[in-house]
Amino acid sequence: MRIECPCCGLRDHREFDYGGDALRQRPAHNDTDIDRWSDYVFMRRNPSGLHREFWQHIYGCRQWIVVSRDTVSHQILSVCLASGAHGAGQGLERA
Amino acid sequence: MADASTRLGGYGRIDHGKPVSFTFNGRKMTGRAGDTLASALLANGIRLVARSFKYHRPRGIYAMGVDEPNALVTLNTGARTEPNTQATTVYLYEGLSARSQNCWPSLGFDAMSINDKFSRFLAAGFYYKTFMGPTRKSWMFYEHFIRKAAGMGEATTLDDPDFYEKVHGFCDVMVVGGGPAGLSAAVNAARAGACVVLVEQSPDLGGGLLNMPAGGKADRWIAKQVAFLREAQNVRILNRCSVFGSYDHGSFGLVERLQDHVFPPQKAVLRQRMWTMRARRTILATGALERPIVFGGNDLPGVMLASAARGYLNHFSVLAGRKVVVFTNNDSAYLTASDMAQAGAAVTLVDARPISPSVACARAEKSGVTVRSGHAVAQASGRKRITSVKIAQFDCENGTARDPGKVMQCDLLCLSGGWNPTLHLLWQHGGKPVFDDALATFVPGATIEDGFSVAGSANGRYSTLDCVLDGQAKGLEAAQACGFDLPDGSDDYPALDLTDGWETQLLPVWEVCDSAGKSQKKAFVDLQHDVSVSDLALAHREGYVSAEHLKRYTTLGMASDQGKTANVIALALLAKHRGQTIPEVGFTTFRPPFTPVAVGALAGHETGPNIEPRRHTPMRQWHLDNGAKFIETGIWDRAWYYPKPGEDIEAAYIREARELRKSVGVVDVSTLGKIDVQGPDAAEFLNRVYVNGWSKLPVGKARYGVMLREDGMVFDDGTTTRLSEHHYFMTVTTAGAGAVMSYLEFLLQTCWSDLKVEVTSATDQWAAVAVSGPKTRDLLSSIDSDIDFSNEALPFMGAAEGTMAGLPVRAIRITFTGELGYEIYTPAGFGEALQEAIAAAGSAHDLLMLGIEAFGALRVEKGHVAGSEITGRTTLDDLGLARMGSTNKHHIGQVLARREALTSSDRQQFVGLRPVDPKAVIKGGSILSEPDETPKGHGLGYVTAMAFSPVVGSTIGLGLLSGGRARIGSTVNVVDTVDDTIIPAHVTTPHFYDPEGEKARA
Amino acid sequence: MTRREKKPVPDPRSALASVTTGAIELAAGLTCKESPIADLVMVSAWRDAAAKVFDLVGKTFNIDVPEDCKAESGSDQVTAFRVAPRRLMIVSGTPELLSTLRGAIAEEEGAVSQQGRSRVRLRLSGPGAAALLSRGAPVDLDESVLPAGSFAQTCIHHMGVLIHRVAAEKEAFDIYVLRSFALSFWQWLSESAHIATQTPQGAAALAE
Repeated sequence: MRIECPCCGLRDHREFDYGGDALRQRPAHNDTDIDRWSDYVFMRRNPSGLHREFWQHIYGCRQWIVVSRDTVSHQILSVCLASGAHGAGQGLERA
Repeated sequence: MADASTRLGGYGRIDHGKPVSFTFNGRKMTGRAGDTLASALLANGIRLVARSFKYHRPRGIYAMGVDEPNALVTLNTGARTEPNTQATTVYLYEGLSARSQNCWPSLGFDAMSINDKFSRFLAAGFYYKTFMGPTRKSWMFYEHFIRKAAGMGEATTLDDPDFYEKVHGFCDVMVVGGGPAGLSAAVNAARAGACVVLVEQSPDLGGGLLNMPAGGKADRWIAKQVAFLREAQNVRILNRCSVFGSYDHGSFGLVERLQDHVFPPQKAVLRQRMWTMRARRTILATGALERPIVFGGNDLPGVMLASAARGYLNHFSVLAGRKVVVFTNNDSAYLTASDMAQAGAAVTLVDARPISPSVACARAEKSGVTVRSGHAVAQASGRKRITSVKIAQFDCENGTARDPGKVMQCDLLCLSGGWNPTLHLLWQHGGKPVFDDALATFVPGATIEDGFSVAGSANGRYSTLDCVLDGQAKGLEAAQACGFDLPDGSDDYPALDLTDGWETQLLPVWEVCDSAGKSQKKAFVDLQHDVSVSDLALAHREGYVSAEHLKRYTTLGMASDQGKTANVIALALLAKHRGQTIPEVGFTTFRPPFTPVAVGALAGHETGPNIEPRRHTPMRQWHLDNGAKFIETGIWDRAWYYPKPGEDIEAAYIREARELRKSVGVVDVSTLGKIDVQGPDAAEFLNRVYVNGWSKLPVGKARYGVMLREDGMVFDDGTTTRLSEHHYFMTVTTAGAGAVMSYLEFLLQTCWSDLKVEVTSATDQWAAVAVSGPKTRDLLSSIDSDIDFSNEALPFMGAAEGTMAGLPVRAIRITFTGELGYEIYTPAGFGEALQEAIAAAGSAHDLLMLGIEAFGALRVEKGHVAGSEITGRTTLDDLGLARMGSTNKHHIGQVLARREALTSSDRQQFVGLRPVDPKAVIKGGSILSEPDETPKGHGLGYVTAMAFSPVVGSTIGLGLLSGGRARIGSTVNVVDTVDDTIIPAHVTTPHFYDPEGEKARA
Repeated sequence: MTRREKKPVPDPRSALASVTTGAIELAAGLTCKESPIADLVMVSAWRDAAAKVFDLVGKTFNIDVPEDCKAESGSDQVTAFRVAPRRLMIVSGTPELLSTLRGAIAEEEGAVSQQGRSRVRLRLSGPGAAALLSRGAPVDLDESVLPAGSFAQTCIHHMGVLIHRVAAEKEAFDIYVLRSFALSFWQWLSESAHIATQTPQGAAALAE
């Protein structure tokens, strides 16, 4: 499997670690609702088809990325930095 | 009994002038350089080569390549023994030794052939039905014998002496298959400038063209393509190399057989190389495999595929029979008939179609072939080899042979039922084959997977010209897709036209039934697994109607040849049973490897101690020089204990632990995970991550911290020191370091990207020693240093920076052992020097070298939680640390830690255990149970750690016990279910030593 | 009370001292030796301060700021690798890098982490260097993809490495690996080279 890291380019899966379902809604840090936290920690939709998931490029830039991947065909449709919404700095704003 | 030699002079591409001697079943024979073992055996007149898997039927050579189902042999002896090798894929070398397998006492007389007589009881799925009675235990009795009888060759149990390596490869265009389509694809892609890798599983390039007579147009064309490819700087040719698997996103597994064609020398060699190849575009020019037609007796030695017979003649110069019958339903077998007749055989061609192709037929008859159209072979007969066939009129409508038929003597029967494109690599990840009615086979279909294209006969092209042109088109297209321009004069490419297309269409014939329409006896579909048409009918009758069930119930297609000559026929027969079309029946899933791969090639160098890399501390050499024994903790190598002469590990660690509490000891703790945390929001970050508070920690002070997982379980612990207002030095457990680091990065990059905090791993930057014991202060103060180690200057949990023996150090006053202690950190390059300085000063203070065994014992006495209690199933409260949790701020895991099940009072809680009998030995992992009851199930908890405690004078344990804190003062049974012992023990506080912590604060 | 004399700081020791003191020849013309690192730091910038911090680094050492995570930039004394979007790994030929940078970068803009002893650097040079690394690194090391002056962070046999094709020599790489893995990496390198040459071509096998 190969993943296109926004910083480092197309890389082998060996360089990455799977980081879990990115479809879940994480409660705010100061949220005290036990059901919302329970939902976030334990419940998964496990779709057959399009899935969004976290990976970390542990042997590369150590960035957490969000990968849209089809769980049936394994085709990867998009990859972006998890922190991308806030801008990544000079030269990589697009990522 | 072997025939006289069938090698013809003046034919083929082998080196007639170079004899090669080999042994088969102990008999010395001679072949030629360029032979396979199969062609050499045929040349020596050997027809009987093997015995079949289940029924031990006599078998001969059936095919010419990787599709061979019968001719499996065991090569070599000793550590290089290789069972289940297809004789058709082994290239002859001087001294090769091969023997038949699965036969006893000999190939000629195999006692197990009695199975054939009892085949009624050994049909498909017999192990679910026969031998199931009279009692339930009967199967286990029979199973013993059946298991012994099963299997083919025997593997060696000796270590593989040779080397294997694994390499990562990259290219623009990978062309799989070096036949006419593959060669032209590679040449044209290379001309366009793409980086090309051409992979061919046999030693020679040319593919199906090598089945043609040598020395002609085809050979000249091949030579020209090969010369171009060898010259080109942007081309790599990998021959003797198979692409065994196609994986996601253009990744492929290849195995290159570097030295399997030479006699194995005494010393170890690099035998095979596994490539993980990434190609931007892949062209499958993998050809097509011929399939047979099924009828009674079709597995006898002397029955082979028509293309194989042709190839043995034209490439290997072996005439496999003198009285030949060719049975076909398509045009291609006419070439076999013509060539063999020209070589001197008496050939009869039997064509199931009512009308023969006129040009091919005329050419064949001119060569002396007798052509019988509208006929079929109804039956083959013989005992250890074919002696005759029954030829009858064929009714195409019903697929039946009309009575009475005529018996004809023969010594070779060649079969051609059609051709199946070899597209496993395309279909290995979910692609569905498409059935082409005209070709009566599975083809790629209109849309194929991104990054792939198919060329040549794999794409349903059956004339050489079509294959070459298809390859050219795909080669250029692939190069363009990679961004290269078409080369100048790309149309001007010397295509090879041999006018060898098919004139007439193939007639689908899968099976020849008798005149009543019934299947015949001993009509085999999967030869290697001895699966016959009656097995398929049985499976269908018993309800195994899907293709997947059929495969598994009958084991059809599950042998090492993966059913290459059987699968499509089986689906056609299944369709007939079900009254459906072939596409409606479906297909089983293709899986790698396409051909067998040695496990050694998949492992490469990563075996034994090399399975993963070891990590070493900066003081490794010092430990070795000072007599330490080492132990693996995860991937770190650590000093375990320092035995004095005559000491075993127990004596050593008990001495080290005991003496430390009297004087001073030093242990290497460099493996601790260390994380550099910096930023204006660092305190806020630590507050969120740890259960306790950090904003009020003064600069120059350290604090013990515990982190929870999001589900409320304890995740990790460590000591974090505030170096300056915005700079913290965090330590975490050795084992948890990687997971903690990733998790902190996750939080900062995904949820809390507004926090200005940076975390950097510093584990390797710092060497660290833990020095502890009553004489620690004296020892450290005696080393040349600008740090004041007094209690006033450096109180408990304080930190100081300075130098010791000229080395830059950071000293943190913390202890794991419960004694007065300091952790001293220095940049890793100075670690050894620091250790030496401490050791040098230590002689005056009775310094102990401490290994982690003793260190562990000391922590058990002290009752600190460690990895054996931080299991991912324990909460803060379970570990007796509930007081640490702050209520003024939110931290990770806080909410789910409130779940009812995590707050109940009968949870397993952290306690100490002391045996009632001081001589009893508590064992780690023992189950804890009620004192008066017989132990049952998982009991009340278990022992997480144990040690002999010099302080207490007996073994002690730490454990997790249901309602443990309330049970302190009572007793429990410590139950060892392996050794069957029960030891009564007092439940105590886990803090056996200095529970008030006075020593550490001295 | 006697006045303690300030001892001079001894030289840091090599992680590879037990296996090598100089260069070793792995195959015909292919050598490997440790290239000691004088100092190394990680400079990280806060989200909105990345441009400013990188600029400061550039001015401090008179080098260009690396544009992406693939090309290094540097001078004779200093090499800067952009190892993550807002992080530079800066390697120096002279010590005291940390203090130079600490002065230049304010706490509100970024963080500087001392990492001078955390890595070991090896110089692998000669024909077959890329081929040897390809026994472990799942990245394309061909000159067209990784030209002189560029780098890739990847793994070799479960060890994180930074591979830098150096401009100074033909077919030469600087490989940075964590210190605790240095011995294992050295072992991997020499054993892989040994295995690759157990063929009829022998020592020349890697170069082809």
